[in-house]
Amino acid sequence: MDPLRRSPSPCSSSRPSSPSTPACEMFGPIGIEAVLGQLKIKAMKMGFEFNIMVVGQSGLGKSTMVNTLFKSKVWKSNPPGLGLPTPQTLQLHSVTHVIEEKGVKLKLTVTDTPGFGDQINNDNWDPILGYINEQYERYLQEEILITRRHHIPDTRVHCCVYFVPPTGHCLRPLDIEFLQRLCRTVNVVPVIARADSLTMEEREAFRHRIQKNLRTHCIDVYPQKCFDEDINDKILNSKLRDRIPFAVVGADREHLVNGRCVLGRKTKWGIIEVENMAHCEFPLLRDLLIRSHLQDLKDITHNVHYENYRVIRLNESHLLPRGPGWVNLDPASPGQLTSRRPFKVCRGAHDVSEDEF
Amino acid sequence: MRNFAWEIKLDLELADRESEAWDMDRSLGWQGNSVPEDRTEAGIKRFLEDTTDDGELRKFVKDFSGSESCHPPEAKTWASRPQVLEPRPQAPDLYDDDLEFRPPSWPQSSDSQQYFCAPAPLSPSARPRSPWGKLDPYDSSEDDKEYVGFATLPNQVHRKSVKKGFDFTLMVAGESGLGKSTLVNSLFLTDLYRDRKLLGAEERIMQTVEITKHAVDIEEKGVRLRLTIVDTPGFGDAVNNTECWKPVAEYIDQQFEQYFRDESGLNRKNIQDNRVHCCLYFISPFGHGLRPLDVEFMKALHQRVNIVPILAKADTLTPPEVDCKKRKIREEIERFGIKIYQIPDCDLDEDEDFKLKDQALKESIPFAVIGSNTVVEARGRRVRGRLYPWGIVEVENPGHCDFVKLRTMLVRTHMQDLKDVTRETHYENYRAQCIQSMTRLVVKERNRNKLTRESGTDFPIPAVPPGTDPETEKLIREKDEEVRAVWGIGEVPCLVINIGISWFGNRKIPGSGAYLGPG
Repeated sequence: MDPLRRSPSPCSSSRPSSPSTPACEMFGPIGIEAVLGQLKIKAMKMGFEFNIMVVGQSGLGKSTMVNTLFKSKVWKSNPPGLGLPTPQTLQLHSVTHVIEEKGVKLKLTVTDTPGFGDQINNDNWDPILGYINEQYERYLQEEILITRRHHIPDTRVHCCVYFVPPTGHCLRPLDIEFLQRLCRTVNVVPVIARADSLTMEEREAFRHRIQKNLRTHCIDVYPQKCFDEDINDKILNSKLRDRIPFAVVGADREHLVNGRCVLGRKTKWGIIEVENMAHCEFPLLRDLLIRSHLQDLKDITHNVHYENYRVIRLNESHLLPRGPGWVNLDPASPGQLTSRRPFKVCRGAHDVSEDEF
Repeated sequence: MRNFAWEIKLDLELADRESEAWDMDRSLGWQGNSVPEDRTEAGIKRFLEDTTDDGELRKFVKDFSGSESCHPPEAKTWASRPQVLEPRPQAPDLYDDDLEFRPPSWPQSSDSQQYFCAPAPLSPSARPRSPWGKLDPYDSSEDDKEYVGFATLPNQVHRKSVKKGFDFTLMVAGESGLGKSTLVNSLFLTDLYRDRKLLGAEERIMQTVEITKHAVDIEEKGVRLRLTIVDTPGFGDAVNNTECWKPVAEYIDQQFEQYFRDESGLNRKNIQDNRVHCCLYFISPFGHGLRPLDVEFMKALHQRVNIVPILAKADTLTPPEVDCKKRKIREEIERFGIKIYQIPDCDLDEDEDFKLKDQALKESIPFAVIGSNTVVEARGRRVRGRLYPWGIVEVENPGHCDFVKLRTMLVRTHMQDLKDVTRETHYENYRAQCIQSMTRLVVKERNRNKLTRESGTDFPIPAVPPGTDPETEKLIREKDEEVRAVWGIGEVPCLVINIGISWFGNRKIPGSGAYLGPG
């Protein structure tokens, strides 16, 4: 090296920019944080996608809740007594909207499940699980094409909001069975619906009982403990986990309270304000789903649930008795991936992923 | 760099960490207990501080500062608009702090916390702030009534990117002595080549083209960049330089292949992305434009990597000479059909200033750069530069060379685009080629044997030369279509993936040669 050269001696790893470290002579920052700006601009241009599914018996206020969440008439909520009769079978009904706020575009897809839990015999949840798996399958097929699109349209369900009726006792067998299966494939956020029929103490008791039920049956709802990345996440998410399931009330009418217009339900004994933390926990739900954990929901769907699905599918196609390399990735017959017993699927998927740890 | 700490199972005894928790909240930007008096201004200012002063960002920020004027909500849907709230809340928030997520039954562990008490049902209350309050575009709780709240999405993504950090792989190619190492050191303010030993003349005769990698972690304002520099010592130094770009091309293909393998595999949690995102090719200033070696190299690599041509050691040229050379090089690049990296056109709705800058950037290619590892004193300031008896050349002076332009383009404005083009174009081309070769093989075999599905036998592997001329490509495409039509669309790609997985497992596929050679 040229002895006359006085090369600045940089630290090879992190370089604090405080003036108290004299060894590094910086001439103008490199400007790495501008890459964040580039990412943001790209994201703003492309827009975001979010797919949410609401599951629960009819009359629990699912449509109203969705309307309240997104402050728009995503569906026309059916007033009680009028509207369509309850469907005879479990159906799935999706609606897509593009909403924009402050320059950010969001393509929102809401899937409703009318007919769930309304039949006499309710053990048919295959349509729901089938729908979820079908979205994964669609994404997988796009991903393995020879000429792929730059941006694969994401129709996978990122979050499933499960409405628990406010019985005040504990989770019902239907809830438990369904949640067990659902948690393996998608992020589930249970909420106590129509919480205005419970007082504060009843809510707390109900919540604790539900949490106990969830623990007993190993139902891992979002935010899952095992996916906390660092201590900040852990602390934040623990607070959330204490409050889940949120006790929510939905409303899409406005009333005048103290000179302000609030969303709420008007009764003879008072007005229940939806966005008032003292009345219900709707703001927590909204913050969780939209303001703080939306990206996390998508990431976990993509990195965990979708990968589990993919692994299962690839393994399946390997096991088919054909010649080497000559296997056919048939569309999964409805019973294949959904009618296995929950713990078996869990073990299969977790085994593969646990091997890698 | 994608480390998901799935396996971290920390103990959940948080009782003793409560006080830490509140500090953590504040550091996260969660407005623990401070009263945000000038919340409107403060929110915007804090948001602005976190961004660099960049033309592209200015416009972005403009959108956000518009919230200072209370404009009506923009939530538009195909269905009916939400009811616009006419009377805006006049009274200031009585509860202007955050309500924590604590259940009321927990005891408080320190004084600085707020009780979550249930006020009378009809009083106003603040909603909990999002944990990224600092970067929150919603500057007042009044906005909650208006907005849904998903404009925080870019910030949510931003937060994850800061945690993950970025990676970038840069390749430098060109003859020895053109200042490649110096330039890399200047660009990223590192000293990667501190212990380098320059070979003597005798040693250079025996030297072949090598590929060397240096990795360095750079952190700035909390953002981490893992930079990998791929160097090609020995390139163009021999007497006979025929096909000296082959090792380079093979290296790039190897990285693509590695990524393809990882991506098609079963465990995709920690895929290392070693693909080369950008190649700086150094053109000597002493010639008359491009030399045959330059042309051959660029033509061999332009389909595999983003090439950014650099006019090296530009301090040997006067400004008119620089212009003349640049024009000549640009003409020759076009004449030979070399596809260098194209800076994307800016949007039509950008302001004039930005458009002019963009145009100037495009016209500066190839960038005439000077690099320096020494610090000299010029005009009373310490600058990086080269000291000559007749003056001082300053590296970071835009009037002296294009170094600043190159650095801006490479890091501040187009790093993500370089990665995107690599990922979406070059890698996809490679992948498509790879799959097509494999499919071609299987189709051939199938046609030859006319086997039924059940009698799958082990088929021998003919040595298929990779056909890259347009005719063969056309045939391949037609075959693809035929196969798809006959067997259904779901089958061929999956078949290939499965071949890929078992194949990659069993055979070592050599670089860019025949993909399917045995052994």
